[in-house]
Amino acid sequence: MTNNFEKQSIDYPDETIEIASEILKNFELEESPEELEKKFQLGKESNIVIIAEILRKYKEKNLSFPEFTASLQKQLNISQKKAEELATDLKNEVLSLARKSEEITAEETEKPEEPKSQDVYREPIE
Amino acid sequence: MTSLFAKIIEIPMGVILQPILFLGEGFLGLANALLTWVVNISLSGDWALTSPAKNELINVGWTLTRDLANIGIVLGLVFIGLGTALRLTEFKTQKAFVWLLIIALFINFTPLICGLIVDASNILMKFFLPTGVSSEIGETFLEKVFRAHMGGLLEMFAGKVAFASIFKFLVLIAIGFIGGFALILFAALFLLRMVAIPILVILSPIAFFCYIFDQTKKYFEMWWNQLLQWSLIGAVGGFFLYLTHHCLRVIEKTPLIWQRAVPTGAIGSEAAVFLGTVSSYFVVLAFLVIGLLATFQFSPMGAKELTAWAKTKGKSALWAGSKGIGNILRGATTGMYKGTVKGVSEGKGGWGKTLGGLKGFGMGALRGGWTTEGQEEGKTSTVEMATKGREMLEKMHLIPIGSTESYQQKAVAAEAAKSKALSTDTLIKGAETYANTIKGKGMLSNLIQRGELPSSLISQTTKAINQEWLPKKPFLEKYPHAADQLQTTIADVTKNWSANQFAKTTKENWNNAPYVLEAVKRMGKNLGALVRRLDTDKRGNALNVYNQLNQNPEQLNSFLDTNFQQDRKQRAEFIGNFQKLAANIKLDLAYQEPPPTPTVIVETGEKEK
Repeated sequence: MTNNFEKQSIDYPDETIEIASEILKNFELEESPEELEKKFQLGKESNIVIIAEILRKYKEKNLSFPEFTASLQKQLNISQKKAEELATDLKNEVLSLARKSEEITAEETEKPEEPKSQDVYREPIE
Repeated sequence: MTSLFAKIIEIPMGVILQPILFLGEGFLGLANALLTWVVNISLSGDWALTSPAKNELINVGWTLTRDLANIGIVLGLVFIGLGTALRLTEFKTQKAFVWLLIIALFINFTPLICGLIVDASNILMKFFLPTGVSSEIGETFLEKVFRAHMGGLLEMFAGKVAFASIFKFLVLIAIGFIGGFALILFAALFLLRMVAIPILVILSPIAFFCYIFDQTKKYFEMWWNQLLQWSLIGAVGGFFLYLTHHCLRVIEKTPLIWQRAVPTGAIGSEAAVFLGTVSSYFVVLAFLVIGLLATFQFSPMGAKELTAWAKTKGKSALWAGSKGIGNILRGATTGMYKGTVKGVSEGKGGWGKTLGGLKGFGMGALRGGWTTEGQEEGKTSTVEMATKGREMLEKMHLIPIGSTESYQQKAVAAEAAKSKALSTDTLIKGAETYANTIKGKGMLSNLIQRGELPSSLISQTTKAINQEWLPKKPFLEKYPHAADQLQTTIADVTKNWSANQFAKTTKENWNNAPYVLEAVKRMGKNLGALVRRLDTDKRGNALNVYNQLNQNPEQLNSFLDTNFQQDRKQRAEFIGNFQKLAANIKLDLAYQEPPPTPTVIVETGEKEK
């Protein structure tokens, strides 16, 4: 099967969506179950899915902060002020957790060099 | 019509069996020549078994060991002297000294002592196997059994002989191979004896020296047993060959009871008369085989290895040979049947059906007999037939209920063991090629066990499970998404699963919407983290499933109605978790709409995807 999905260079931690969900709740943007079901029936995406997409695009396309805010305002259909506040919270609590793959790879591969053991086949030079 | 039918069967059978029959005859002839040669050499005296004067090998070897033993005697004397002076009581020095003196004398005459034993055995062997006896056994089989009956068989190429004659082929092949095998083993035994006895004679001074001290006495005993056994085995083997030869003579002189009992003109009487004639030779053959086994009971060192070889390799060679013939016959028969049915069903009109049937019959026989796939299908048909028979017996309560299922699955397990070491790619290709055979099902079994069953083979596997070739449980433990093809549901399959077990199977089942829904229900928000650890392909599958469900919510609605009709809270929780799962997938993956499928306008003007 051909794969249409490109692996991203950003790694979010496992709890990202839970944190984002809490932030949405604080901004009273979390849908009730009925609203969620209604959205699903209409083929619309829920706010948490929209946030996830914007988060992905933010890192993937290197969006600037104003672009990120504008994107939130447009997609969630909220005021600019609310969007700015939401963007700030997301930046501080979610984006700060994200790490680039290269960083992780570097962390994993850059192990401190172990001191070389003494060569037993060689006499010490005095 | 009957004649045409007979020809169609007999000609391919003749082509298949004729070379095997010639091979059997050749094998028997070769074994007979080998035995005759070995017996003649053994008894001619040209190859002396014990005398250093007549056998240079023994002369050189024995002189060397004798000198070594004499050095040992001197050292032994010193040792006994020291032992006496130092009062080493653990060495019975006085007793050892007496024996040392006797052995010092005997060491120079060991070939003579060995010669007494071996010659006694050779006298018996010579009595049982006077000139010509050993060769007459094989020659009688060749003359009276093979050449007397093979003439008619050659006509089978022309389709002149009745179908029952195929039976003759099989009997003669069996006689050729079993008889040849027994004669070859006798020859090998006598040949080994001719090598073992001189070696024992060469070692005799050392063996005698070992008799002096209690600590080394066991080596003398070991040598002594070997000498006795290798000497006697010649006489014992000769005795059974003598009995076999005598049995052949009696059968030649005495009219045969079975042959007389066959009514003339009875159905299949040709085969019956033949069986009556050769059945007597089967008695002789049995004598030969039992004699061989009895001779092996003496089993000295070396003969033991020969026995083990005969038991394993010999048996498996015979088994492999007969299995091969069986596979060809089974394949040819199945091919004939399937080809005929196909030819008749595809043929148009009366003549068309007849010609189609005949063509299918002939082509099916050839394909079934000569191709591996055909032979495997033949083998599978045999098990299928046996299964049907067993099912009837089960219904009649003559065999335990459920035993048929395990019978089929055992057959598949045996095939699976054969292909266990193959790579996954080879297994996948093999399972596709041998789709309708037990071999293919065995390969599927290995793929299930490895968790490497591709989605293209799922329906083939569920079909095999529904036909009870493969067990349901191990498959569903790995591929619960296929539950609906096995008259069950994912919920039923997974109801007692731990979260851990669920997580293990998630990887293989992400491309299936009902499975993903069940996974959300069972694993809740934990699924998000799990899905993000999948590789990109699998996450892509999960996202595809999410988008499919989003675009077509009927499936989700039906799931919600079935599972949460009564419980609003659980329903809400499920929807929330489902959205979080989607968010987790989208956090890392961008969904791209697949490019539109190009539409091709065919000449008729209809649009075709």
